[in-house]
Amino acid sequence: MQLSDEELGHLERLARLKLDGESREKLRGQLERIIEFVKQLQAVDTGRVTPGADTGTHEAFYREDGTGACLERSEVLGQAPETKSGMFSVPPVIETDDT
Amino acid sequence: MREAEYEPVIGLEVHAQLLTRSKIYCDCPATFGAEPNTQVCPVCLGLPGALPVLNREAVSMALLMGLATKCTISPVSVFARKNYFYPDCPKNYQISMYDRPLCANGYIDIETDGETRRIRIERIHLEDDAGKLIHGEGGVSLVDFNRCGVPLIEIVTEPDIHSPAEAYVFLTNLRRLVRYLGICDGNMEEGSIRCDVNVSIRPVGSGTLGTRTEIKNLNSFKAVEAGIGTELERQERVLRSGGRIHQVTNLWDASKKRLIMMRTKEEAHDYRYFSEPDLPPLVVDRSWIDGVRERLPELPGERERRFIDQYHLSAYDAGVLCAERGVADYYEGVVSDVGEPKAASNWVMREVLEELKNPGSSIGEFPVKPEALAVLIRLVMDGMVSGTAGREVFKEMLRSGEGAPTVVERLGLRQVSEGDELEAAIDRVLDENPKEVERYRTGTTKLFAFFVGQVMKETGGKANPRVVSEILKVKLGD
Repeated sequence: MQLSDEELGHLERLARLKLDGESREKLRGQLERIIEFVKQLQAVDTGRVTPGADTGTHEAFYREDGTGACLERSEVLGQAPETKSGMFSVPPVIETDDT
Repeated sequence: MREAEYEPVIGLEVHAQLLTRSKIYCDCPATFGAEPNTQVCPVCLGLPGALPVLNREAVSMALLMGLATKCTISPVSVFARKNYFYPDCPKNYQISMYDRPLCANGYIDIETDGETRRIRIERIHLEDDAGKLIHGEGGVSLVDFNRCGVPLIEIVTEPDIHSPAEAYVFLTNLRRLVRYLGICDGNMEEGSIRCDVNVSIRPVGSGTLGTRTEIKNLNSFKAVEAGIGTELERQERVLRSGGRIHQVTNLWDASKKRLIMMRTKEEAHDYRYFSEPDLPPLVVDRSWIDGVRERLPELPGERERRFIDQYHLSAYDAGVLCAERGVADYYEGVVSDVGEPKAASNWVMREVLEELKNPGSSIGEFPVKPEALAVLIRLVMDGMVSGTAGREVFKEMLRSGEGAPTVVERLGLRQVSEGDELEAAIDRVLDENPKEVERYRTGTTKLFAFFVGQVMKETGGKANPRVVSEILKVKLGD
Protein backbone atom coordinates (compact mmCIF):
# COMPACT_ATOMS: atom_id res chain seq x y z
CA MET A 1 0.00 0.00 0.00
CA GLN A 2 1.54 3.25 -1.18
CA LEU A 3 0.41 6.40 0.61
CA SER A 4 0.37 9.27 -1.87
CA ASP A 5 1.59 12.78 -1.09
CA GLU A 6 -1.94 13.98 -1.45
CA GLU A 7 -3.28 11.45 1.09
CA LEU A 8 -0.49 12.26 3.49
CA GLY A 9 -1.22 15.98 3.11
CA HIS A 10 -4.88 15.37 3.90
CA LEU A 11 -3.97 13.47 7.07
CA GLU A 12 -1.61 16.24 8.10
CA ARG A 13 -4.39 18.77 7.75
CA LEU A 14 -6.79 16.64 9.81
CA ALA A 15 -4.15 16.15 12.51
CA ARG A 16 -3.09 19.80 12.38
CA LEU A 17 0.49 18.67 11.82
CA LYS A 18 3.14 20.04 9.50
CA LEU A 19 5.77 17.46 8.56
CA ASP A 20 8.63 17.68 6.18
CA GLY A 21 11.70 15.82 4.94
CA GLU A 22 12.83 12.86 6.97
CA SER A 23 10.04 12.83 9.54
CA ARG A 24 7.43 12.92 6.79
CA GLU A 25 8.96 9.87 5.07
CA LYS A 26 9.29 8.07 8.41
CA LEU A 27 5.58 8.63 9.12
CA ARG A 28 4.66 7.52 5.60
CA GLY A 29 6.41 4.19 6.20
CA GLN A 30 4.74 3.73 9.61
CA LEU A 31 1.28 4.53 8.28
CA GLU A 32 1.75 2.11 5.40
CA ARG A 33 2.60 -0.66 7.88
CA ILE A 34 -0.51 0.19 9.95
CA ILE A 35 -2.69 -0.06 6.85
CA GLU A 36 -1.14 -3.46 6.03
CA PHE A 37 -2.00 -4.60 9.54
CA VAL A 38 -5.60 -3.43 9.20
CA LYS A 39 -5.79 -5.41 5.96
CA GLN A 40 -4.86 -8.53 7.92
CA LEU A 41 -7.72 -7.80 10.32
CA GLN A 42 -10.09 -7.24 7.45
CA ALA A 43 -9.19 -10.63 6.01
CA VAL A 44 -10.71 -12.38 9.07
CA ASP A 45 -14.16 -13.83 8.40
CA THR A 46 -16.48 -12.17 10.94
CA GLY A 47 -19.66 -13.25 9.19
CA ARG A 48 -20.89 -15.24 12.18
CA VAL A 49 -19.98 -12.71 14.86
CA THR A 50 -22.76 -10.52 16.28
CA PRO A 51 -21.84 -6.85 15.89
CA GLY A 52 -21.12 -5.28 19.26
CA ALA A 53 -20.84 -1.71 20.35
CA ASP A 54 -18.82 -2.10 23.51
CA THR A 55 -16.50 -4.47 25.23
CA GLY A 56 -18.29 -4.78 28.56
CA THR A 57 -21.58 -6.19 29.70
CA HIS A 58 -21.97 -3.56 32.38
CA GLU A 59 -25.33 -1.90 32.74
CA ALA A 60 -25.84 1.69 31.81
CA PHE A 61 -26.02 4.12 34.68
CA TYR A 62 -27.19 7.68 34.72
CA ARG A 63 -26.90 10.89 36.59
CA GLU A 64 -29.92 12.86 37.81
CA ASP A 65 -30.03 16.43 36.53
CA GLY A 66 -28.39 18.24 39.45
CA THR A 67 -25.47 20.63 39.40
CA GLY A 68 -22.20 20.36 41.31
CA ALA A 69 -19.00 22.28 41.83
CA CYS A 70 -16.90 23.55 38.94
CA LEU A 71 -13.18 24.24 38.81
CA GLU A 72 -11.81 27.58 39.93
CA ARG A 73 -11.34 29.83 36.96
CA SER A 74 -7.69 30.47 37.80
CA GLU A 75 -7.11 26.73 37.82
CA VAL A 76 -8.76 26.42 34.41
CA LEU A 77 -6.84 29.27 32.84
CA GLY A 78 -3.67 27.82 34.35
CA GLN A 79 -3.92 25.08 31.71
CA ALA A 80 -3.60 27.60 28.88
CA PRO A 81 -0.34 28.69 27.27
CA GLU A 82 -1.88 32.11 26.72
CA THR A 83 -5.00 33.81 28.06
CA LYS A 84 -6.85 37.03 27.44
CA SER A 85 -9.99 38.46 29.08
CA GLY A 86 -10.57 35.26 31.03
CA MET A 87 -10.38 33.13 27.89
CA PHE A 88 -7.92 30.83 26.16
CA SER A 89 -6.06 32.68 23.43
CA VAL A 90 -5.46 30.58 20.31
CA PRO A 91 -4.34 31.16 16.70
CA PRO A 92 -7.11 32.33 14.35
CA VAL A 93 -9.16 29.40 13.20
CA ILE A 94 -11.39 30.13 10.24
CA GLU A 95 -9.92 28.70 7.05
CA THR A 96 -11.40 30.17 3.92
CA ASP A 97 -10.39 30.87 0.35
CA ASP A 98 -11.45 34.41 0.98
CA THR A 99 -8.30 35.63 2.67
CA MET B 1 -37.43 31.38 -14.73
CA ARG B 2 -35.43 29.00 -12.59
CA GLU B 3 -38.51 26.97 -11.62
CA ALA B 4 -38.95 25.98 -15.20
CA GLU B 5 -35.75 23.96 -15.29
CA TYR B 6 -34.20 23.28 -11.90
CA GLU B 7 -35.71 22.42 -8.56
CA PRO B 8 -34.00 22.91 -5.20
CA VAL B 9 -33.49 19.98 -2.84
CA ILE B 10 -32.82 21.11 0.72
CA GLY B 11 -32.11 19.26 3.93
CA LEU B 12 -31.52 20.79 7.36
CA GLU B 13 -29.44 19.83 10.36
CA VAL B 14 -30.72 21.65 13.39
CA HIS B 15 -28.96 21.72 16.74
CA ALA B 16 -31.10 22.59 19.74
CA GLN B 17 -29.65 23.14 23.22
CA LEU B 18 -31.62 21.26 25.85
CA LEU B 19 -32.89 23.10 28.92
CA THR B 20 -31.40 20.75 31.47
CA ARG B 21 -29.95 22.26 34.61
CA SER B 22 -26.62 20.49 34.18
CA LYS B 23 -24.48 19.42 31.23
CA ILE B 24 -24.92 16.13 29.41
CA TYR B 25 -21.88 14.21 30.71
CA CYS B 26 -20.99 16.12 33.90
CA ASP B 27 -22.73 18.18 36.59
CA CYS B 28 -21.51 21.64 35.59
CA PRO B 29 -24.40 24.10 35.14
CA ALA B 30 -25.64 24.28 31.55
CA THR B 31 -26.89 27.86 31.85
CA PHE B 32 -26.02 30.60 29.38
CA GLY B 33 -24.34 33.86 30.22
CA ALA B 34 -21.88 33.02 33.03
CA GLU B 35 -18.41 34.59 33.09
CA PRO B 36 -16.14 32.77 30.59
CA ASN B 37 -14.55 29.53 31.78
CA THR B 38 -16.32 29.43 35.15
CA GLN B 39 -18.66 26.50 34.40
CA VAL B 40 -16.16 23.81 33.54
CA CYS B 41 -14.68 20.71 35.18
CA PRO B 42 -12.22 17.96 34.27
CA VAL B 43 -14.92 16.05 32.32
CA CYS B 44 -16.03 18.82 29.98
CA LEU B 45 -12.45 20.09 29.64
CA GLY B 46 -11.35 16.62 28.56
CA LEU B 47 -8.64 16.35 31.22
CA PRO B 48 -6.90 12.96 31.42
CA GLY B 49 -8.76 10.30 33.39
CA ALA B 50 -12.06 12.14 33.60
CA LEU B 51 -15.08 10.00 32.69
CA PRO B 52 -18.51 11.03 31.38
CA VAL B 53 -21.75 10.04 33.14
CA LEU B 54 -24.94 10.49 31.15
CA ASN B 55 -27.60 12.98 32.33
CA ARG B 56 -30.88 11.03 32.35
CA GLU B 57 -32.99 14.16 31.83
CA ALA B 58 -31.14 14.99 28.60
CA VAL B 59 -32.21 11.59 27.28
CA SER B 60 -35.80 12.17 28.39
CA MET B 61 -35.90 15.53 26.61
CA ALA B 62 -34.56 13.99 23.41
CA LEU B 63 -37.23 11.29 23.74
CA LEU B 64 -39.90 13.99 24.11
CA MET B 65 -38.79 15.46 20.78
CA GLY B 66 -38.70 11.99 19.22
CA LEU B 67 -42.25 11.22 20.34
CA ALA B 68 -43.52 14.66 19.29
CA THR B 69 -42.16 14.12 15.77
CA LYS B 70 -43.54 10.54 15.57
CA CYS B 71 -40.10 8.99 15.44
CA THR B 72 -39.28 5.37 16.14
CA ILE B 73 -37.35 5.17 19.42
CA SER B 74 -34.43 2.81 19.30
CA PRO B 75 -34.42 0.40 22.29
CA VAL B 76 -30.61 0.43 22.14
CA SER B 77 -28.63 3.35 20.79
CA VAL B 78 -24.90 3.85 20.82
CA PHE B 79 -22.76 6.88 21.60
CA ALA B 80 -19.91 7.44 19.18
CA ARG B 81 -16.73 9.47 19.17
CA LYS B 82 -16.39 11.96 16.39
CA ASN B 83 -12.72 12.88 16.25
CA TYR B 84 -11.53 16.28 15.12
CA PHE B 85 -9.04 18.92 16.19
CA TYR B 86 -10.43 22.37 16.73
CA PRO B 87 -9.73 24.82 19.54
CA ASP B 88 -13.37 24.85 20.72
CA CYS B 89 -13.20 21.11 21.50
CA PRO B 90 -10.77 20.35 24.33
CA LYS B 91 -11.40 16.56 24.33
CA ASN B 92 -10.45 16.47 20.62
CA TYR B 93 -13.63 14.50 20.05
CA GLN B 94 -17.33 15.03 20.38
CA ILE B 95 -19.46 12.35 22.01
CA SER B 96 -22.27 12.04 19.52
CA MET B 97 -24.26 9.21 17.96
CA TYR B 98 -23.51 7.79 14.55
CA ASP B 99 -24.99 4.64 13.08
CA ARG B 100 -27.39 3.89 15.95
CA PRO B 101 -29.17 7.14 16.85
CA LEU B 102 -31.80 7.44 19.59
CA CYS B 103 -34.73 8.41 17.32
CA ALA B 104 -35.36 7.91 13.61
CA ASN B 105 -37.96 8.11 10.85
CA GLY B 106 -40.30 10.82 12.10
CA TYR B 107 -41.87 13.87 10.51
CA ILE B 108 -43.17 17.38 11.02
CA ASP B 109 -46.12 18.64 8.99
CA ILE B 110 -45.93 22.27 7.92
CA GLU B 111 -48.34 24.58 6.12
CA THR B 112 -47.09 26.60 3.18
CA ASP B 113 -49.40 28.48 0.85
CA GLY B 114 -52.40 26.74 2.39
CA GLU B 115 -50.96 23.34 1.60
CA THR B 116 -49.81 20.76 4.15
CA ARG B 117 -46.31 19.43 3.47
CA ARG B 118 -44.73 16.57 5.37
CA ILE B 119 -41.03 17.08 6.09
CA ARG B 120 -39.55 13.77 7.16
CA ILE B 121 -37.09 13.59 10.04
CA GLU B 122 -34.27 11.18 9.29
CA ARG B 123 -32.92 11.07 12.84
CA ILE B 124 -32.62 12.80 16.19
CA HIS B 125 -29.57 12.12 18.31
CA LEU B 126 -27.85 13.41 21.45
CA GLU B 127 -24.42 15.00 21.62
CA ASP B 128 -22.38 17.55 23.55
CA ASP B 129 -21.93 21.14 22.43
CA ALA B 130 -18.49 22.63 21.79
CA GLY B 131 -17.01 25.72 23.39
CA LYS B 132 -17.46 29.18 22.00
CA LEU B 133 -14.87 30.90 19.81
CA ILE B 134 -14.74 34.65 19.85
CA HIS B 135 -12.63 36.65 17.45
CA GLY B 136 -10.24 38.68 19.50
CA GLU B 137 -8.12 41.60 18.55
CA GLY B 138 -4.73 41.18 16.93
CA GLY B 139 -5.74 38.17 14.85
CA VAL B 140 -6.21 35.71 17.72
CA SER B 141 -9.28 33.70 18.64
CA LEU B 142 -10.47 33.46 22.23
CA VAL B 143 -12.12 30.38 23.67
CA ASP B 144 -14.78 30.14 26.37
CA PHE B 145 -15.33 26.49 27.34
CA ASN B 146 -18.54 27.07 29.36
CA ARG B 147 -20.63 25.73 26.48
CA CYS B 148 -18.62 22.49 26.24
CA GLY B 149 -20.89 19.65 27.26
CA VAL B 150 -24.18 21.53 27.10
CA PRO B 151 -26.62 18.90 25.83
CA LEU B 152 -27.73 19.16 22.23
CA ILE B 153 -30.15 17.27 20.10
CA GLU B 154 -29.34 17.21 16.43
CA ILE B 155 -32.40 16.94 14.22
CA VAL B 156 -31.65 15.86 10.66
CA THR B 157 -34.34 16.15 8.00
CA GLU B 158 -34.63 14.19 4.79
CA PRO B 159 -34.06 16.41 1.72
CA ASP B 160 -37.79 17.15 1.54
CA ILE B 161 -37.63 20.94 1.52
CA HIS B 162 -38.02 22.60 -1.85
CA SER B 163 -37.64 26.35 -1.30
CA PRO B 164 -35.94 28.83 1.02
CA ALA B 165 -39.38 29.94 2.24
CA GLU B 166 -40.29 26.37 3.12
CA ALA B 167 -37.06 26.05 5.14
CA TYR B 168 -38.09 29.17 7.03
CA VAL B 169 -41.56 27.82 7.82
CA PHE B 170 -40.12 24.47 8.90
CA LEU B 171 -37.71 26.14 11.31
CA THR B 172 -40.46 28.33 12.73
CA ASN B 173 -42.54 25.21 13.36
CA LEU B 174 -39.61 23.38 14.88
CA ARG B 175 -38.85 26.27 17.19
CA ARG B 176 -42.48 26.44 18.29
CA LEU B 177 -42.44 22.71 18.97
CA VAL B 178 -39.31 22.65 21.15
CA ARG B 179 -40.69 25.59 23.12
CA TYR B 180 -44.03 23.83 23.62
CA LEU B 181 -42.17 20.77 24.84
CA GLY B 182 -40.14 22.96 27.21
CA ILE B 183 -36.90 21.33 26.06
CA CYS B 184 -35.24 24.36 24.42
CA ASP B 185 -35.80 28.10 24.73
CA GLY B 186 -35.43 28.57 20.96
CA ASN B 187 -33.33 31.70 21.37
CA MET B 188 -31.36 32.14 18.13
CA GLU B 189 -29.35 35.13 19.35
CA GLU B 190 -27.96 33.10 22.22
CA GLY B 191 -27.40 30.18 19.86
CA SER B 192 -29.92 27.85 21.52
CA ILE B 193 -31.00 26.79 18.03
CA ARG B 194 -28.49 26.60 15.21
CA CYS B 195 -28.97 25.36 11.71
CA ASP B 196 -26.75 23.96 8.97
CA VAL B 197 -28.14 23.47 5.50
CA ASN B 198 -27.47 21.04 2.65
CA VAL B 199 -28.44 22.39 -0.74
CA SER B 200 -28.48 20.93 -4.24
CA ILE B 201 -30.44 21.50 -7.40
CA ARG B 202 -31.58 19.06 -10.05
CA PRO B 203 -33.51 19.22 -13.30
CA VAL B 204 -37.24 19.20 -12.56
CA GLY B 205 -38.55 15.66 -12.57
CA SER B 206 -35.14 14.07 -12.17
CA GLY B 207 -35.01 11.23 -9.66
CA THR B 208 -31.35 11.62 -8.78
CA LEU B 209 -29.87 14.19 -6.42
CA GLY B 210 -27.32 16.75 -7.55
CA THR B 211 -24.02 17.33 -5.75
CA ARG B 212 -24.81 19.13 -2.54
CA THR B 213 -23.03 21.90 -0.71
CA GLU B 214 -23.27 22.81 2.92
CA ILE B 215 -23.91 26.20 4.51
CA LYS B 216 -22.88 26.82 8.10
CA ASN B 217 -22.89 29.80 10.45
CA LEU B 218 -26.53 30.65 9.80
CA ASN B 219 -27.45 32.61 12.88
CA SER B 220 -31.11 33.38 12.20
CA PHE B 221 -34.02 31.83 10.33
CA LYS B 222 -33.91 34.79 7.93
CA ALA B 223 -30.22 34.06 7.34
CA VAL B 224 -31.14 30.45 6.52
CA GLU B 225 -33.63 31.67 3.95
CA ALA B 226 -31.21 34.19 2.45
CA GLY B 227 -28.23 31.80 2.50
CA ILE B 228 -30.16 29.07 0.69
CA GLY B 229 -31.43 31.57 -1.90
CA THR B 230 -27.91 32.82 -2.61
CA GLU B 231 -26.49 29.30 -2.90
CA LEU B 232 -29.30 28.13 -5.20
CA GLU B 233 -28.60 31.03 -7.54
CA ARG B 234 -24.88 30.27 -7.52
CA GLN B 235 -25.41 26.58 -8.29
CA GLU B 236 -27.75 27.41 -11.11
CA ARG B 237 -25.27 29.86 -12.64
CA VAL B 238 -22.54 27.21 -12.49
CA LEU B 239 -24.70 24.51 -14.09
CA ARG B 240 -26.01 26.83 -16.81
CA SER B 241 -22.51 27.81 -17.81
CA GLY B 242 -21.62 24.13 -18.16
CA GLY B 243 -19.70 23.89 -14.87
CA ARG B 244 -19.78 21.29 -12.11
CA ILE B 245 -20.82 21.68 -8.48
CA HIS B 246 -18.13 20.67 -5.99
CA GLN B 247 -18.91 19.38 -2.54
CA VAL B 248 -17.89 22.29 -0.34
CA THR B 249 -18.82 23.99 2.88
CA ASN B 250 -19.75 27.66 2.82
CA LEU B 251 -19.94 30.06 5.69
CA TRP B 252 -22.72 32.65 5.65
CA ASP B 253 -21.56 36.20 6.23
CA ALA B 254 -24.72 37.83 7.56
CA SER B 255 -23.40 41.38 7.51
CA LYS B 256 -22.45 41.25 3.82
CA LYS B 257 -25.16 38.75 2.85
CA ARG B 258 -22.75 36.51 0.99
CA LEU B 259 -21.20 33.06 1.18
CA ILE B 260 -17.56 32.42 1.98
CA MET B 261 -16.16 29.11 0.77
CA MET B 262 -14.17 27.14 3.35
CA ARG B 263 -10.91 25.67 2.18
CA THR B 264 -11.50 22.02 3.04
CA LYS B 265 -14.44 19.77 3.52
CA GLU B 266 -14.13 17.00 6.06
CA GLU B 267 -16.03 13.87 5.20
CA ALA B 268 -17.58 11.32 7.52
CA HIS B 269 -14.59 8.94 7.36
CA ASP B 270 -12.26 11.79 8.30
CA TYR B 271 -13.93 11.88 11.71
CA ARG B 272 -12.95 8.26 12.44
CA TYR B 273 -16.18 7.54 14.29
CA PHE B 274 -16.10 4.65 16.73
CA SER B 275 -18.27 3.47 19.62
CA GLU B 276 -17.65 5.56 22.71
CA PRO B 277 -15.73 3.31 25.10
CA ASP B 278 -16.52 5.48 28.15
CA LEU B 279 -20.31 5.19 27.84
CA PRO B 280 -22.22 1.94 27.60
CA PRO B 281 -24.96 1.61 24.98
CA LEU B 282 -28.07 3.60 25.88
CA VAL B 283 -30.96 1.25 26.67
CA VAL B 284 -34.41 2.84 26.67
CA ASP B 285 -37.13 0.51 27.89
CA ARG B 286 -40.90 0.72 27.56
CA SER B 287 -41.43 2.24 31.01
CA TRP B 288 -39.00 5.08 30.31
CA ILE B 289 -40.81 5.90 27.06
CA ASP B 290 -44.21 5.68 28.77
CA GLY B 291 -43.03 8.05 31.49
CA VAL B 292 -41.89 10.57 28.89
CA ARG B 293 -45.10 10.17 26.93
CA GLU B 294 -47.03 11.37 29.98
CA ARG B 295 -45.07 14.63 29.81
CA LEU B 296 -46.14 15.30 26.20
CA PRO B 297 -48.36 18.38 26.02
CA GLU B 298 -50.97 18.95 23.35
CA LEU B 299 -48.78 19.77 20.33
CA PRO B 300 -49.05 23.18 18.66
CA GLY B 301 -50.42 21.93 15.34
CA GLU B 302 -53.11 19.85 17.06
CA ARG B 303 -53.98 22.74 19.34
CA GLU B 304 -54.36 25.10 16.39
CA ARG B 305 -56.82 22.72 14.72
CA ARG B 306 -58.76 22.35 17.98
CA PHE B 307 -59.02 26.14 18.38
CA ILE B 308 -60.56 26.34 14.90
CA ASP B 309 -63.05 23.53 15.60
CA GLN B 310 -63.92 24.26 19.22
CA TYR B 311 -63.84 28.06 19.31
CA HIS B 312 -64.67 28.69 15.64
CA LEU B 313 -61.66 30.91 15.24
CA SER B 314 -60.11 31.70 11.85
CA ALA B 315 -56.97 29.78 10.89
CA TYR B 316 -55.05 33.02 11.20
CA ASP B 317 -56.28 33.76 14.74
CA ALA B 318 -55.67 30.17 15.84
CA GLY B 319 -52.12 30.39 14.43
CA VAL B 320 -51.35 33.61 16.28
CA LEU B 321 -52.81 32.37 19.59
CA CYS B 322 -50.98 29.02 19.37
CA ALA B 323 -47.59 30.44 18.37
CA GLU B 324 -46.59 30.29 22.01
CA ARG B 325 -47.83 27.78 24.51
CA GLY B 326 -48.13 30.38 27.29
CA VAL B 327 -50.33 32.59 25.13
CA ALA B 328 -52.57 29.68 24.12
CA ASP B 329 -52.88 28.71 27.80
CA TYR B 330 -53.70 32.32 28.68
CA TYR B 331 -56.37 32.49 25.99
CA GLU B 332 -57.98 29.28 27.16
CA GLY B 333 -57.85 30.58 30.73
CA VAL B 334 -59.86 33.62 29.64
CA VAL B 335 -62.36 31.58 27.62
CA SER B 336 -62.94 29.07 30.41
CA ASP B 337 -64.03 31.96 32.67
CA VAL B 338 -66.02 34.17 30.34
CA GLY B 339 -66.99 32.03 27.35
CA GLU B 340 -67.05 34.43 24.38
CA PRO B 341 -64.18 32.83 22.39
CA LYS B 342 -64.25 35.43 19.63
CA ALA B 343 -64.19 38.44 21.97
CA ALA B 344 -61.51 36.78 24.08
CA SER B 345 -59.42 36.18 20.96
CA ASN B 346 -59.70 39.86 19.98
CA TRP B 347 -58.68 41.00 23.44
CA VAL B 348 -55.71 38.64 23.66
CA MET B 349 -54.52 39.32 20.12
CA ARG B 350 -54.88 43.08 20.28
CA GLU B 351 -54.27 44.14 23.84
CA VAL B 352 -52.26 41.33 25.41
CA LEU B 353 -49.96 40.54 22.46
CA GLU B 354 -49.41 44.25 21.86
CA GLU B 355 -48.28 44.61 25.44
CA LEU B 356 -46.00 41.56 25.14
CA LYS B 357 -44.01 43.31 22.40
CA ASN B 358 -42.43 45.42 25.12
CA PRO B 359 -38.97 44.14 25.93
CA GLY B 360 -38.79 42.15 29.12
CA SER B 361 -42.47 41.29 29.29
CA SER B 362 -43.54 37.67 29.18
CA ILE B 363 -46.84 35.88 29.20
CA GLY B 364 -45.80 33.90 32.28
CA GLU B 365 -45.48 37.09 34.32
CA PHE B 366 -48.23 39.06 32.62
CA PRO B 367 -49.70 41.42 35.24
CA VAL B 368 -53.32 40.96 34.16
CA LYS B 369 -54.23 37.35 34.84
CA PRO B 370 -56.66 35.52 32.54
CA GLU B 371 -59.39 35.59 35.23
CA ALA B 372 -59.02 39.38 35.52
CA LEU B 373 -59.25 39.90 31.78
CA ALA B 374 -62.31 37.63 31.75
CA VAL B 375 -64.05 39.94 34.25
CA LEU B 376 -63.30 42.97 32.06
CA ILE B 377 -64.57 41.23 28.93
CA ARG B 378 -67.77 40.34 30.79
CA LEU B 379 -68.29 44.02 31.74
CA VAL B 380 -67.88 45.06 28.10
CA MET B 381 -70.11 42.27 26.76
CA ASP B 382 -72.83 43.22 29.27
CA GLY B 383 -72.68 46.85 28.19
CA MET B 384 -71.44 48.07 31.55
CA VAL B 385 -68.34 49.55 29.90
CA SER B 386 -67.96 50.65 26.28
CA GLY B 387 -65.33 48.98 24.09
CA THR B 388 -63.20 52.11 24.02
CA ALA B 389 -63.44 52.61 27.77
CA GLY B 390 -62.66 48.90 28.19
CA ARG B 391 -59.28 49.34 26.55
CA GLU B 392 -58.60 52.25 28.86
CA VAL B 393 -59.57 50.08 31.84
CA PHE B 394 -57.17 47.38 30.60
CA LYS B 395 -54.26 49.83 30.45
CA GLU B 396 -55.05 50.95 33.98
CA MET B 397 -55.28 47.34 35.19
CA LEU B 398 -51.81 46.75 33.73
CA ARG B 399 -50.48 49.79 35.48
CA SER B 400 -52.12 49.50 38.91
CA GLY B 401 -52.79 45.80 39.19
CA GLU B 402 -56.39 46.51 40.25
CA GLY B 403 -59.40 44.53 39.08
CA ALA B 404 -61.66 45.82 36.31
CA PRO B 405 -64.66 46.81 38.54
CA THR B 406 -62.41 48.86 40.82
CA VAL B 407 -60.85 50.71 37.89
CA VAL B 408 -64.23 51.34 36.28
CA GLU B 409 -65.59 52.90 39.46
CA ARG B 410 -62.45 54.89 40.24
CA LEU B 411 -62.23 56.42 36.76
CA GLY B 412 -66.00 56.80 36.44
CA LEU B 413 -66.09 54.81 33.23
CA ARG B 414 -69.31 52.95 33.91
CA GLN B 415 -71.46 53.13 30.83
CA VAL B 416 -74.78 54.89 31.50
CA SER B 417 -77.51 52.56 30.29
CA GLU B 418 -80.51 53.36 32.36
CA GLY B 419 -82.06 55.64 34.84
CA ASP B 420 -82.69 59.31 35.15
CA GLU B 421 -79.16 60.39 34.32
CA LEU B 422 -79.39 59.19 30.75
CA GLU B 423 -82.96 60.46 30.26
CA ALA B 424 -81.96 63.86 31.56
CA ALA B 425 -78.98 64.01 29.22
CA ILE B 426 -81.14 63.15 26.23
CA ASP B 427 -83.72 65.77 27.23
CA ARG B 428 -81.02 68.42 27.51
CA VAL B 429 -79.71 67.59 24.01
CA LEU B 430 -83.20 67.80 22.50
CA ASP B 431 -83.94 71.07 24.32
CA GLU B 432 -80.72 72.65 23.16
CA ASN B 433 -81.24 71.72 19.51
CA PRO B 434 -84.85 72.63 18.65
CA LYS B 435 -84.07 73.34 14.98
CA GLU B 436 -82.53 69.93 14.44
CA VAL B 437 -85.46 68.27 16.17
CA GLU B 438 -87.83 70.08 13.85
CA ARG B 439 -85.84 69.11 10.74
CA TYR B 440 -85.66 65.50 11.89
CA ARG B 441 -89.40 65.36 12.40
CA THR B 442 -89.98 66.76 8.92
CA GLY B 443 -87.91 64.05 7.26
CA THR B 444 -84.18 64.73 7.68
CA THR B 445 -83.70 61.35 9.39
CA LYS B 446 -79.95 61.31 8.92
CA LEU B 447 -79.83 63.75 11.85
CA PHE B 448 -80.42 60.73 14.15
CA ALA B 449 -76.68 60.07 14.30
CA PHE B 450 -76.15 63.71 15.26
CA PHE B 451 -78.40 63.30 18.32
CA VAL B 452 -76.65 60.09 19.37
CA GLY B 453 -73.32 61.87 19.06
CA GLN B 454 -74.52 64.81 21.14
CA VAL B 455 -75.77 62.50 23.89
CA MET B 456 -72.43 60.65 23.94
CA LYS B 457 -70.70 64.01 24.26
CA GLU B 458 -73.07 65.10 27.01
CA THR B 459 -72.36 61.92 29.01
CA GLY B 460 -68.63 62.04 28.44
CA GLY B 461 -68.74 58.85 26.37
CA LYS B 462 -70.26 56.82 29.18
CA ALA B 463 -73.66 56.29 27.59
CA ASN B 464 -74.48 52.96 25.99
CA PRO B 465 -75.12 53.91 22.34
CA ARG B 466 -77.65 51.13 21.85
CA VAL B 467 -79.76 52.29 24.79
CA VAL B 468 -79.42 55.94 23.72
CA SER B 469 -80.80 55.04 20.28
CA GLU B 470 -83.79 53.28 21.79
CA ILE B 471 -84.71 56.16 24.07
CA LEU B 472 -84.13 58.74 21.33
CA LYS B 473 -86.44 56.90 18.97
CA VAL B 474 -89.23 57.05 21.55
CA LYS B 475 -88.65 60.72 22.36
CA LEU B 476 -88.45 61.75 18.72
CA GLY B 477 -91.71 59.97 18.13
CA ASP B 478 -90.52 57.24 15.72
